[in-house]
Amino acid sequence: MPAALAVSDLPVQAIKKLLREKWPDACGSEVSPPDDFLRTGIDRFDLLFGPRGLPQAQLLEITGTVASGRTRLLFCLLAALTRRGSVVYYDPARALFPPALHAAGVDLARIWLIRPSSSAAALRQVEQLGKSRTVCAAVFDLSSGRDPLAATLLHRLRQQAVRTGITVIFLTSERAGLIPPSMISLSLRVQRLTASRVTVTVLKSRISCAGVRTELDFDA
Amino acid sequence: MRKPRFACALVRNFALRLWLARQPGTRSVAVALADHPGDAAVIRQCSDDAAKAGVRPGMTAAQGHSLCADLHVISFSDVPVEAEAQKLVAHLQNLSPEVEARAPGMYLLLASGLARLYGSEAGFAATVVAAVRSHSLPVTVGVADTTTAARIAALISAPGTFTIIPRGREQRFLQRLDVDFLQPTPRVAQQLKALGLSTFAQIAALPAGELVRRFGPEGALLHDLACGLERTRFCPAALPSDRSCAASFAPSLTRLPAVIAHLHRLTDELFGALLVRGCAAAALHVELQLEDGTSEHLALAVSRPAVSAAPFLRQVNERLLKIRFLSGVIRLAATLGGVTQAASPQLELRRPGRLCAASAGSRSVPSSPTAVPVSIPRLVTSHLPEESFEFSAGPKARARAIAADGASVPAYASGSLAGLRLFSPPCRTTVTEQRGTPQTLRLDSRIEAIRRRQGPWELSGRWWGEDFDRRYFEVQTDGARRYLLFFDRGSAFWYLQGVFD
Repeated sequence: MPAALAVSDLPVQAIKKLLREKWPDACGSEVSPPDDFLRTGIDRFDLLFGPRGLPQAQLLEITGTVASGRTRLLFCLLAALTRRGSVVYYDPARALFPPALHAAGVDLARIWLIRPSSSAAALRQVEQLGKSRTVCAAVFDLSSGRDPLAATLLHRLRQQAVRTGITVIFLTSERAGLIPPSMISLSLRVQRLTASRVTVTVLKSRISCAGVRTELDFDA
Repeated sequence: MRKPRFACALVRNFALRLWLARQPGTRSVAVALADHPGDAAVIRQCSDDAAKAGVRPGMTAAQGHSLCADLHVISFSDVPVEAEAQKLVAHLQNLSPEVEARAPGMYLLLASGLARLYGSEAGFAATVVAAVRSHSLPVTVGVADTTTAARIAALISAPGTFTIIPRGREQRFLQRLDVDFLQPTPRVAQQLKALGLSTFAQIAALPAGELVRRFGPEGALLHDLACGLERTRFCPAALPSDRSCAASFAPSLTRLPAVIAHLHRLTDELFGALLVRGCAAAALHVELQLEDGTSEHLALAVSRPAVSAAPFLRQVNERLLKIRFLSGVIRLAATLGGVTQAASPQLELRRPGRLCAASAGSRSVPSSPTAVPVSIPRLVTSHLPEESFEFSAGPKARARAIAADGASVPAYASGSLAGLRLFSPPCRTTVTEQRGTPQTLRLDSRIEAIRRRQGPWELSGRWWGEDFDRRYFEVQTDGARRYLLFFDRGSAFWYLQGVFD
């Protein structure tokens, strides 16, 4: 009878594999390179993240001051996202102006607005919609938000995003501190230069260098 | 039949508190609320800081300014009291099926039968406190057998707390109270003091006729209040139509199975309407009006909000079987309470792309592709920016949500609206102007010079109703920030409609 193999004899990767089979999150969540990318049509922006464009299935933060151009950038992303499928939109401040979405080329029929009582309820609803695979992205407009989002719910949403492939975009004010930085895979800061030109800086990214920036002209 | 219980939620200086809640930066500022603008206006309410400076209700605005140079005087027209009171009533109707707005800032709620839903009366009172505080308003709550006692219990509570007078202890509670809680007029208060009458018990012990002879109608009112008698009937506000329904019968229903069958039909209708909105209910109130003029009330509650009538109907059947009807039922009314958005634990995925309510059998929510209620934006033809779109629910709305050609050419801005965020409602601002053209703009606490402006675009209309007459500008301030600004000729104020973000 062969001697039983001791755990200490196994290579680390094999032990991790065994553990993951038993408890999927035992060794922390593995960051695998994304296999889904979005081309927004703004070449300078897409090239920030490599030739294939913006990686999907992650939590993304667009931050900036009032009138910095962050909403304009968000609408450009939405125009591309609504060509793929429906997008959930959480707008607690009721600042969403559908004619502006339409002007940016967003398909309004694919914008699903949710109006839950709190941001925690909104996170749960997005998680639920993500599970049902009826949406391809979710937007949380937290520009005028003050309360930080619950880390546990964000963690669940991040796992859900990876599993189901939905992209979750948070629109926040600069230095608002609503979302723990560890939860975000990609953070972008928008600063206005002129009426139509803005600078987009990558603050954090898992696939491109932090600090990389580009200038965009929305009217070009 | 047991006597009902009432809760009273009281927000003192409601209009002023409301104004302060909408201006977060002014909590520690001396503010007074007057009847109308101008120095001669009489101050009705004042903030703590104004009171510390010596400002008192009853003074004129000029007197207030002489005591406190920084006093900011606002008028009732600056505060949308009615609209906010309605919002608060709608919120409280989610907690109790019967809510009355007796005065601005004073809300009476029926508390009977809700102890099971909220754990206890204290749980219910704490929920009411939390609900009103979510509107950034300080509140006190009292619970008692009568509305008068509930109001006084709320009056004696510290801000953010509640007082519960146990059933049957109302007289004992009232008798110890100071006569000031009866809120007599200053003249009567002085006379009562001169007579040595300082507590409710002393007033209640006097013959009512003697009080009427001395103080007129106010004497009768004081006597009734001191005895804990109700002077005003509890008149709850009408519920939204999908939360209450009733049916009348002629001839009357004399057999219990028929009553139960009709009740099932009514509750099914109510829950059907609720389900469409993705909501659940935790309480059901049933009223059976009998031929002999009496009525029976059933207050039912479940610990977890339900999306179907089943958990309530079991209780209804049990309770109805115990009641002995002496005459036929001529009217049935059912009202839902504790209405909340259906929480996720009650929903489960049946198959990808379709979400069904678990406890509602196989019935899917008809108005949206999932049980999460969603609205679809749709452009409509209107000159006003805030009316140029609407949100509607359901697949029909999705089909209609097509680009409206007219909306792509705005009548109030220079070109593309991309990136425009609205201030809802438009935010009043201060603008310095030269020949009707804006020169500087006040944003929060700073003043910014306007570098570039486009416009004006004149918008006016709807003379037959709520007319509007606005002059729009698209302005660019320092730092290349662009705003959509308008001057409202009706109110003679400038407003920020939105920001190009």
